Amino acid sequence: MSTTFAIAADDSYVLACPSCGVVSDAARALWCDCLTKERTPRCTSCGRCLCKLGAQQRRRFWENAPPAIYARRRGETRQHGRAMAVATKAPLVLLVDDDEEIRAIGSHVIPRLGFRCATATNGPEALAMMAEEEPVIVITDALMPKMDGRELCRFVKRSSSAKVVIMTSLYTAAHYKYEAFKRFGADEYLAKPIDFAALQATLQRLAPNAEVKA
Amino acid sequence: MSGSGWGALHALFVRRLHERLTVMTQSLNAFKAGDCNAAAEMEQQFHSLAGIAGTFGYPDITETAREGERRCGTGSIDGITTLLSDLRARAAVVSESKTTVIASTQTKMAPYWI
Repeated sequence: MSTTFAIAADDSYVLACPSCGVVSDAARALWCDCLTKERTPRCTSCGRCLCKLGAQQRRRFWENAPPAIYARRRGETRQHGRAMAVATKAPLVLLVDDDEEIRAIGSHVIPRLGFRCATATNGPEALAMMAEEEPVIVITDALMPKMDGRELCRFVKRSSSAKVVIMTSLYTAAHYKYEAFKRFGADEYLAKPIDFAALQATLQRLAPNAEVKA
Repeated sequence: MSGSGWGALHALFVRRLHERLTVMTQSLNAFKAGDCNAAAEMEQQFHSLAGIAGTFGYPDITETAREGERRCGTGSIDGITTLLSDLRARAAVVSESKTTVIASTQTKMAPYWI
């Protein structure tokens, strides 16, 4: 079998597919989505990926790979591994907030608590996302344009089994907390600024089976 | 957002803080020129800032922003100029600060999150 990288005329690396023999630009190769520990280039012609090869052949292939491709393999494999670990096990949390920073913080912190995290910028967008995949928990800001958190809470409670956490500023807490629980059926309440310990406790209370990642 | 982790989050916060201050200054000028809706825009910006600054470990900015939100909510802009000056001074300090602020202020937070 000849799995070879070669340097093309323009100094880019080309990859000869071990299966069909078609030569393609290695830097532009697609990478496989197989449920293996590593990701490998996939032939753009026949679609075969290199992780289907035997261990010895794969080792020989990577021994010959140029540094740029090897570095990309490490990055792809790391990302892929994280994504697969989370995607196959973790329950989904949908974070709805019109504030970019809150969404960014949630996307950073929530996966570390053993959940997948999806974000939406407003109520209608959140409901559209819920049509695709139902989250276990919906965390929503109270005050948002288009559809505020209390209204979203009411929609979610009517149409799904997801738990709803209303999140709002401490400044307006008392009023919204009362309304969220009594009129809109929220399951929990979180105050801003976000206390991460409170967030962790809330998520674990609502979905106790999620595993916190070290 | 480029990069990942708290460093990138903090950089995002700093960038948005300066953007918010610019919007609030423009809204204040618009209000002074007779645009009544500008007070609501300022109130919204103060509200968002109050919520996010504490999360990043800046309770002093939260308190100042809350005071601004309260004043805008009452329809009065007395002292808003002073509050904005105060926030600008704090923003300059925040721009220089490191992300360790988050770790030190979120004392109950598990260390593996950093």
